[in-house]
Amino acid sequence: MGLSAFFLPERLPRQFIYAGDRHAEIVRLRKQKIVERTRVAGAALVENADAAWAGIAPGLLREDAGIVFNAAPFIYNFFEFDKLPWQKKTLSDLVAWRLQKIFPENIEAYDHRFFRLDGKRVLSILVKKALLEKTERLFAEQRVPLTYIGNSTMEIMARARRAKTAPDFFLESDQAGCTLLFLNRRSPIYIRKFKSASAADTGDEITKTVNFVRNNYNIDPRRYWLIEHQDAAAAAAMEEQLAGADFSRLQTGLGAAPHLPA
Amino acid sequence: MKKNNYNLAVGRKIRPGAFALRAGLLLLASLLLGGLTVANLLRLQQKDRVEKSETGQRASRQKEMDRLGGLRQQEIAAWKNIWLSELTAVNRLIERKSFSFIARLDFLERTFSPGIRIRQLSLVNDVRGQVAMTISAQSLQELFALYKKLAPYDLVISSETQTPGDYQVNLSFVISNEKL
Repeated sequence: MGLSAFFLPERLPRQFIYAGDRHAEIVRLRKQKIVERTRVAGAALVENADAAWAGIAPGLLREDAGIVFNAAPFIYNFFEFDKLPWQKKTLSDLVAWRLQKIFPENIEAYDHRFFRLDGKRVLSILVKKALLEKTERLFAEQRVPLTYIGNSTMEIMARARRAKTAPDFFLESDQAGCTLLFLNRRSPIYIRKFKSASAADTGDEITKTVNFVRNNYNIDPRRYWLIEHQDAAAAAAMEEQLAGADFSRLQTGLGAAPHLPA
Repeated sequence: MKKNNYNLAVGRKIRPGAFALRAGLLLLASLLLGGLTVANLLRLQQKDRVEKSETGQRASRQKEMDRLGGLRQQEIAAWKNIWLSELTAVNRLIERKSFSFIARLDFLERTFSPGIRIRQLSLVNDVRGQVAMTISAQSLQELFALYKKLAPYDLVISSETQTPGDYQVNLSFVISNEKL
């Protein structure tokens, strides 16, 4: 936590919208507990914002709100250096230089943030500025103050790193896509987003990815968190499938919304 | 563990209560630090003032001592001049007083044996006390005995003339006041 974050602590809103692949969910919190959640099916805020907003807007209260996107619109990169400079500006230039080497598109069109993970690595996150601007505009038109735009993967990662028993990896699954993030000693080491046609394909991809990490990072991931954005049945099916591959699920202990900031 | 704060919203809001608490704590800490700094500065200033006054006192004392020292030097110089002139005068007087013809004649009487006659004598009235004389001796032994007696007095024999039964010598020697 930086000095500014310590002295200027953010006030989190009490209503959140989770923007999933093909649905959205309006969640209301009181004292960090969910008191109401409304699922808006077919609302794909990233792909078709205007149409999705028509379904979401009526459910919003005229109070501070936040929106948490799933991993789909974000681009993650881990960058490793020999040694990270302590000066923020130098570090920023270094990360931007590395990003320019691998990123094929116009970086100016993206909001780029990065986080220092340890003395050598940073996690870089990109998201299109157009998406952020569009979201800000939609909330402004509805006269709902938007005080938080976040990312579910980052929220889950932050909680996993602080968890009493940290998982080896977590799996965030939505209708169209799945995100896997692996931790080693509570530090993220590898992230993968993929799309699959069926639950069986998803299970296969997870197993392949775990094997890749096992071979390349010299760890043996077994325990995982599952954050399933579809329904309980899909979560149970996924858990059963992964149990067959000798993975054991850990409960997050964070209620039904570990992907929301609290 | 450091929490990565990822919020991209433009209109982020601050928690007033938590902010007030932290700002209050910061203010309190600043005041405490400021108070400590002021207290330390005052203490240092007080110490400085005491040291300055002590230094000032010492400086004025030093100045006074320098002034007195100067006066003493002047006095010493004046005394020195007076003493020097007095000393010169006294020395001159001593020199004058110490030269004695009688003592020198007495010395000649005691030194010369009966067989030796003084034909001519010259005594110079100065510090060195040079004596020049022409003598005649009846025998060579007596003459040599005289030479032996006068040897410690820087004896210089100018001439010796021998005639039958008489030896005539011109000589000089020095009888300083100390040797009398």
